[in-house]
Amino acid sequence: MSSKQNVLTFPAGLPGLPPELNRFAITALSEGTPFFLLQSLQDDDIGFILLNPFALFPDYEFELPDQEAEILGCETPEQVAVFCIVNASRGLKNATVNLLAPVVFNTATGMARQVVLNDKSYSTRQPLSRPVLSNNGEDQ
Amino acid sequence: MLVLTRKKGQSLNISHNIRIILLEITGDTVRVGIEAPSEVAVYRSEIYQTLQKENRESMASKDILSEVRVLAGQHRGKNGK
Repeated sequence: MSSKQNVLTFPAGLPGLPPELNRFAITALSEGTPFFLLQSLQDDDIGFILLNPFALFPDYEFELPDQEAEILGCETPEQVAVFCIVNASRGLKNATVNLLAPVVFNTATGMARQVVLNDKSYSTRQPLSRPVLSNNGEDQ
Repeated sequence: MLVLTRKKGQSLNISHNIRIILLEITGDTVRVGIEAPSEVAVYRSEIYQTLQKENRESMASKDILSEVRVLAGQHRGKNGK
């Protein structure tokens, strides 16, 4: 169809979805917005809104566990893309985003996983309208 | 449910490609190592349940999907690189 589509494959599926729904197309919603559509290629009725988290939460950061990087086959950081799933089921004004469990994928292969971060400061329901409270920056 | 007893450092195999290793046991805490292929999802059960619920709830409604497809389609149309 379109040349601008990127196909993501989730070998382990996504929690909460039937395991056979593992192929999705990701498309930017419009030029310059951080929002994307993640559309199932196997079921037209299934799709998610994704956010490029760094656009709205500039302090968002995490270390991708080695074993996840290995499974994804990411050899360089440039190969890693990160998106977070938006929950707009309570209306757009109350939309939240799942910063704790981002969708991480290898841009070279499209291999994708929903990864759970070890960082307890990130929530599965971060309000879109509120920045993440930064933890003193230098702790640990 | 199958119940087995294992000691620290011992492991068990599930099917032919999953191995669970009991790395460390301190009081009532057990550290577990898991070797599994990429098509096997491994999550702590509490977070797995949270993610199941959150992902199901996050699925865009048909209305939102059709609106959003228009946006994505326009974008592709204008910018098909």
